[in-house]
Amino acid sequence: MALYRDTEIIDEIKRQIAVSYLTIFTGLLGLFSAFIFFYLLRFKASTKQTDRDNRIKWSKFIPYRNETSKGDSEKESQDATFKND
Amino acid sequence: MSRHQALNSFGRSGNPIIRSAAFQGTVSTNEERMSLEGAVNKTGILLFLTVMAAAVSWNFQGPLMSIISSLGMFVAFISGIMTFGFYFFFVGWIVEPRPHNAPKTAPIYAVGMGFFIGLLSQQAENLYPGIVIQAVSLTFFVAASLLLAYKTGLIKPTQNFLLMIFAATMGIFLTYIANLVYFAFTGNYFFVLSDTGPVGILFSLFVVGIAALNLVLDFDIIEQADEQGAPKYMEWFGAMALMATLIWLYIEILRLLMKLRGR
Repeated sequence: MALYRDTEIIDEIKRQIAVSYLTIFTGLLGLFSAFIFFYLLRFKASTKQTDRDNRIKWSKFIPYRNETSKGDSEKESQDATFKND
Repeated sequence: MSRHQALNSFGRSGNPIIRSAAFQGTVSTNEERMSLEGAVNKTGILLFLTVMAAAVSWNFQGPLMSIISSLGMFVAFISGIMTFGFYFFFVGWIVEPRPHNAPKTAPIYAVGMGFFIGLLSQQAENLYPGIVIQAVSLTFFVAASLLLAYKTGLIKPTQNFLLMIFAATMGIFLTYIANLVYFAFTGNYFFVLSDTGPVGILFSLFVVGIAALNLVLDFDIIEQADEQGAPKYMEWFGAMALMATLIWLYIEILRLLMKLRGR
């Protein structure tokens, strides 16, 4: 009976060690992945990605272009005011 | 015809280059333009804020922290709506995206969601020790793999790709909303969301896949905004979009791992 309980305890310790090894391994993998992620993010995508006709036109959905062109057109209209008019 | 009328009728310039569509929408020279480097730095800042808020929420458990976490999630939701807008089928944009709000809303979003995921992670860690490290690691592993696939041109986001991902994301969002309503009336969750058997795990895998593919769209937004010389605030917008998807991916991976460990 006692021998059975000891085997159970040993099995539990073995399982916990395996789990902690797994945690260490995944932790290291996570650190490495985070480093790769932030490193790669700084680089421009390859021409295979950027030189295509079927890209999503994000400016259609996100109005950052309108914002700037609105500013430009305001400048333009100020510019087009003549004293003689 | 006065000179002013003439300009209105014929436009300011006859030069085809200046009048071409390619010239429209470029940022004026006196305005600062966004860069990839800037977007990366902003993503780093947002990640730092999220981790800090999550650490506070993790370490100081209690009813007050539960209220702060719920409030944080609500504030993050409002910040998200104020920046990304809200699109609904057949109705179109109910609230239009306002990317110029991002420099203010992005840090609020990061802190708010940080409080929420800190509490969620602590509860998951209490149930299954070591699960949080696994979920965080898998999140970065998936993100780095997809970034590599995007940068090398292995995955090419197109209009059809966008439609597919958008429809699937909306489907998941509506399922979660319907689940909340169902829970309010019956006190039970949908079978696919709570099941730890093959059906529940397959559903979780599907959601993780869709969340991961949303990352590709975020990479494309940042890349294109940089190419087109978008205004500086687009750095915050891109970083916020990336953070929102990373947090969603983390939550879904955590849920999947909990289902796997709970079998």
